[in-house]
Amino acid sequence: MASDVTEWAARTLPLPRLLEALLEAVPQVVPGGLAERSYAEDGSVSYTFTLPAVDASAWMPLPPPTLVDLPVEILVAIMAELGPRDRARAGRSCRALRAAATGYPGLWRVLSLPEMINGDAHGRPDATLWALARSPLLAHVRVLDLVDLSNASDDALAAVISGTLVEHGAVPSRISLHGCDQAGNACAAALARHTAPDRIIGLVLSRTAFSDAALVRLASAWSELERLEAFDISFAPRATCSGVAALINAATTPVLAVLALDRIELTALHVWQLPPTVTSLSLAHARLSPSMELSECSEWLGQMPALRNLVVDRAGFVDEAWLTSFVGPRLAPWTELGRLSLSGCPRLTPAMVSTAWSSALANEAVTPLPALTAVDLSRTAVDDSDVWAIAEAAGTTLTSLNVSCCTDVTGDRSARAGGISR
Amino acid sequence: MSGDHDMVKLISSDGHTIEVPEDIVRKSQTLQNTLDDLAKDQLENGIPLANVTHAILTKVVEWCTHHKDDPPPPEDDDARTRRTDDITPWDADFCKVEQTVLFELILAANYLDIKGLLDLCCKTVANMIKGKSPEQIRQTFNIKNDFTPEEEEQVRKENEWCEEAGSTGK
Repeated sequence: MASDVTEWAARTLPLPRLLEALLEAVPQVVPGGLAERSYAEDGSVSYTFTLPAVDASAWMPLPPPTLVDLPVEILVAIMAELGPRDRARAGRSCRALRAAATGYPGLWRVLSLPEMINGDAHGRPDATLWALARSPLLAHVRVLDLVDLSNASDDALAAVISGTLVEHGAVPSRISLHGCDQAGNACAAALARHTAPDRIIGLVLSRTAFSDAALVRLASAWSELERLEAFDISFAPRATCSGVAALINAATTPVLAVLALDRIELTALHVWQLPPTVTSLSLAHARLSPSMELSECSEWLGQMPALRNLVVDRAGFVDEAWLTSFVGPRLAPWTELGRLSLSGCPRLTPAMVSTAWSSALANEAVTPLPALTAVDLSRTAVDDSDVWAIAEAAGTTLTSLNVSCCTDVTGDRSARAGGISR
Repeated sequence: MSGDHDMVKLISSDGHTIEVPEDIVRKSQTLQNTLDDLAKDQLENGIPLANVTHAILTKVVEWCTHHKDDPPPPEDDDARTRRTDDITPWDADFCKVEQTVLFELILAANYLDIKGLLDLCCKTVANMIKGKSPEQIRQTFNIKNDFTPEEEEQVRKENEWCEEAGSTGK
């Protein structure tokens, strides 16, 4: 019998770990069964399984798998397909499903909360948020993702934030309030109670009601933002550069890499130096405050030599002068920029781009933007000569030039630029 | 590997051998790695699949054959929108099996690393859970309530907010 089992094991369980499992299982499931591991002098391992000659009906049959027998990663995958309510109910059915529903931090990003709260099933988002704020489940939150709760009040959102960060002591590394139109002072006050701001990696306050005062309040409470890698406050109508600067500068050794300031008023840039670690900056729809000089903006951008991705889509300040200073010798150290998006800039008129580039090229001492690989000029008034100028200036590095919806780009010359997306 | 270069022998845990076209076999990441790592002569005797019975392997091959021309599933799982109502009629019929078969399919898809099949089976199970109370979930899957009274109270508190949310609209 022993040799039979060994032969069977050798044939069907080629992996040593399965033999190890069998070593443990045989004495448990076979009445009177023995299992032994031995080592030969040459270091090889052999397994001996001894099974008593008993009626096969005495064997404990292996039951077919049930839901709770599935590996935890599978149960987690199943839970991930459910919304919060179904997931919560599944978690109430037994320990295995509870572990799968709550033990995996990512599941409690509250990803489906908007669908649940904003849906017409009940229409009282605040009541749900207040109830959620009391739930011990919040202790599991690692990514607080309260996005698009446009109907939720500032106070109710603040209650969930406070419940997560303070009452239940969670330490989320990413916090997003994107699209929570009413999130403002109360949320800022709740966030300010975060006891471990140095654990925050990403903070998204886009399309919220956060004001400069709220940002300053956060900055004063969070003396350390040493791990903040990404900050987005785009389309927050009550915030300006002043508040953003206060928050960003709260880090003494910043690691900020991604900054999105779409539709934020750019003001007093001369007193604000962005961390040199910023590699991606979005200023779409951005506007300069009336007191600011155009050159101030260019110089400010020029202080970021590590920038690899710059988006200034639809920015009102982008014109020929700005562009000239942007690509010109002044920015010679700007060697890393790979992607530049100027889509929809209203003041980019025909020939301005080519004039700017030609002007830059006239100075043979520098190569403007030597790493540039992608330029987006879609929805601008550039023409064939612009496209041709850029294609020649960029040389071999340019692989993508988007001139979609540019009605003046028509001729064959533009096609010679290569890689043009129309 | 058989004489036909496009066919691969797969040996189930219960000793059955089936021959499957190589492009079908490559739907499994595990088997694709095996095919890439081993020389052809090493595949002559077939690839043993210790964790997959003949019945389940046949089902897996059936699914892979039907989906052989599908594009590879996206890598970034977190980015996709979670939905379980996008199961095609063929896949829905394919999953109309006993629970034990469904779970064995899940285990096989996991072992063989066939993401599309695993996603389908997980969605099917998720659909079986949706809209049910904890007690109904226990009944559906023959699960024993193994919570202590204290644990049950704790779990009830954890999920109170969900039930409150559900009742506010009534």
